[in-house]
Amino acid sequence: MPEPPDNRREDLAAGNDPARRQRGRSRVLMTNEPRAYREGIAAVIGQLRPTVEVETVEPSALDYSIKRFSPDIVICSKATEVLKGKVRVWVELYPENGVLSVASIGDRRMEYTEIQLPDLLSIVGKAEELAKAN
Amino acid sequence: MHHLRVGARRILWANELASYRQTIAIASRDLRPHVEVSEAESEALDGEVARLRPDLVIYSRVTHTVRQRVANWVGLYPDRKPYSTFYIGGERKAKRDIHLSDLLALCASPP
Repeated sequence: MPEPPDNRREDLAAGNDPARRQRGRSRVLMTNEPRAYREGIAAVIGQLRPTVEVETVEPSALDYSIKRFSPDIVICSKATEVLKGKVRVWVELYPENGVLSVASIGDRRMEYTEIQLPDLLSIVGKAEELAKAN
Repeated sequence: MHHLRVGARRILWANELASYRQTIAIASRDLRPHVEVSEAESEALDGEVARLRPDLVIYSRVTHTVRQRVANWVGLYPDRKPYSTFYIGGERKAKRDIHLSDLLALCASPP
């Protein structure tokens, strides 16, 4: 696993850098809170799903980052209308700090009580399949 | 059966919620391979402290046993508060904006 960047500078412009764009790879955008968990989940997804490109940003940058990064899946703490309208696969992870999480995969909506890491990885896999099918 | 490695620094992750604990434990195992990483549900924390004798515990709900028996601990977003509390090397402090790198640094280095 690559050492995680010390994301004290979450560079919002990084996704516009062509050198960082990796063609053909599915994109995962992470905006969930708190930060240490956002960074931890991003590091593990990057390790266990090396075919995807993972980006972390602050929750306040969610809508802007959807337009800039065009993610195939978003993992966040609070889904926005922009997210629901533009991204086919998303996970609202522990909204309001509760144990319940909500996932939207295409037209399906699912609720998880105490979602597990394998569930998240499975949803990332489904987002990859949907992205490839399009 | 869990075998303790002689001389390895022992870290016990008992923070909530499950996916958070699982991911942070994996990250610390992979990025700090020289430390011995274990996981426990909050309910099992006291028993695991007695069994594993960890050098560092990261928890969400503190117990009397942790404070009595563990030399170093981190209350990571305790009771889902927006800050974390550290007791490392006899020094106590609170921090609001925790990074993964902060936690990995604690795993790596003895106080």
